[in-house]
Amino acid sequence: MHLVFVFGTLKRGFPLHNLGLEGAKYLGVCRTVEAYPVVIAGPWFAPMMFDLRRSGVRVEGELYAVDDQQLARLDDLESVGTPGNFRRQLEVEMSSPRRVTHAFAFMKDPRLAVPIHSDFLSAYHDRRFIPPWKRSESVSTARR
Amino acid sequence: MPLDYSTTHQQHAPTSAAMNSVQITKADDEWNVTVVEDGKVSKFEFLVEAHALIFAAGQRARLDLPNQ
Repeated sequence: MHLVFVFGTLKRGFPLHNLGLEGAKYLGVCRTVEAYPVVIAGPWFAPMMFDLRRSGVRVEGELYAVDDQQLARLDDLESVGTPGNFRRQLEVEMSSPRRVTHAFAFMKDPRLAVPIHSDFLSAYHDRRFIPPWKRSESVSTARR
Repeated sequence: MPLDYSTTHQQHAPTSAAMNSVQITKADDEWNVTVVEDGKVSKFEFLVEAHALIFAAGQRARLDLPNQ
């Protein structure tokens, strides 16, 4: 099993949750032990975390236990292995029960963050994200 | 360009590629990122610290410099 920290569109109630975390075991809410920069960026208003530890703010999210197959599905969903898309380990602190553990998080190269739509986020609540299955529609709407 | 940096100023400095650098400084209500690349100095001004920091990190990645 692997622990995965999600802070954005993979959280419960957000567009990629069912696609990425169906069948995963929810372990609770947690927060990164150290500060990381998370902003909303890119043409699809995606929340992005960057591997710049101690910059930004501590980030709230959710912790899940996933198996190899589920982790591979998440990698695919997050485009891990393509330029600028990474999976890294970080430390997260669960509040109940209180404990610190290592978990994977999905991060981006800062060069993908164009344009940037927000300041640093401690928690992601934005609803502007355009999921992959709506992108052609949004492009054609914009062209009208 | 939708980033909020203002006009880029460029000048030449007596530096080499080995001395490429990216620096962030705060001035009044702005954050300035100074990129030195192959002796060319470019300055970018941002109103939001987060934008400056991420832009600077991207420039460091592009220039193969370690992040600070």
